[in-house]
Amino acid sequence: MPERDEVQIARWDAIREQVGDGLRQMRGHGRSQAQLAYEMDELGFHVSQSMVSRYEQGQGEVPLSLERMVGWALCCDALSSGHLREMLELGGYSLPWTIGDMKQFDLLLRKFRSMSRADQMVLRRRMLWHLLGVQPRPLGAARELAL
Amino acid sequence: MTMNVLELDDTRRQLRDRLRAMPDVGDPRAGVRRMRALLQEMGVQCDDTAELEDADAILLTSGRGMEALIASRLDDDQRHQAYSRIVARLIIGQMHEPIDAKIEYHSKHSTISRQEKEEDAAVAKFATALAEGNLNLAPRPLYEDVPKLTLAFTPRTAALSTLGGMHLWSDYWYRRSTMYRWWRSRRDVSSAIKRVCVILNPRRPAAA
Repeated sequence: MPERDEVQIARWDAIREQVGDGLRQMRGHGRSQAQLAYEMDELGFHVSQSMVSRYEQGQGEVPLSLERMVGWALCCDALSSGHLREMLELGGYSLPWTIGDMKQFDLLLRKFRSMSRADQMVLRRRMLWHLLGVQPRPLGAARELAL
Repeated sequence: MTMNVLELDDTRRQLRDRLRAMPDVGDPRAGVRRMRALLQEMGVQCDDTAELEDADAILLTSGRGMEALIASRLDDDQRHQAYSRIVARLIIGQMHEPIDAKIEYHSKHSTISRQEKEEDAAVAKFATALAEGNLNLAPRPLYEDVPKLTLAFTPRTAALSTLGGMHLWSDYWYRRSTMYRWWRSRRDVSSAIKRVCVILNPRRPAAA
């Protein structure tokens, strides 16, 4: 595990249960932890089903990054949900998008849900870039870097 | 963060200007290069390597910029058509703030609203005219500044105003009527309209 400051650990310990609660609420009942882990993996996040479970129970040891929070919400079509806003606030993060903007992102995700899975993933990866302002790498290259 | 509408309008205007000067190409590979260069010059980031399964292309716009994703599985002809559709979409399509995406398919595809269906059909027809290098088979307001419909009283301005009304009518129905698009893309119709335009505006002959 990478070395982390005590202050950072203490802060994460103080908020991780609330964050876990928000994550669980965003996933809702219609989406399994396995499905979410699979979709996040497709987007380029290295999140396993057990990690999804641990984070939701407030047992994740590593602070959840902004990218993972947004990716989680993107996979759950919950970008405009109050849970994401609360979590971002707890984590001290902010995005340059208004609530109305986030609703439009969710609307777009729902609109193209009838597309094939592969096409949806291409669109979601690019939307993630538009949300975060991070240029995506080809998935293969990203995986090689992670190994 | 919102998409800059003025920026999109400017892109649209510049695209129209550049399309008129674009040489007619027979080779689809050269056509792809030209369309791609044109889009990139307008600030649209192009990616030919998208792993799209069904869709041919995606146009994505937001405050972060504009992106055109083209499926890597397409051959040169299909890619040329896909790029033409992206250009046509930028000119005809309505992009919503703060983010919007348009999906391009090579064949008819289910769309949600009637408005989207009409837009898709107009984009497909205009894209065909673009890919073939036959801009005159589409209404001129799509790629050129034309006289405007105004309240005019002198013989000279009345003629121009009538022409402006014709352009407006042509543009309106091209976006809404399958029958008109079919009719307007006929060469004999295009020639006849051009003759009418010459009569109404002899200084600057134009097609409708």
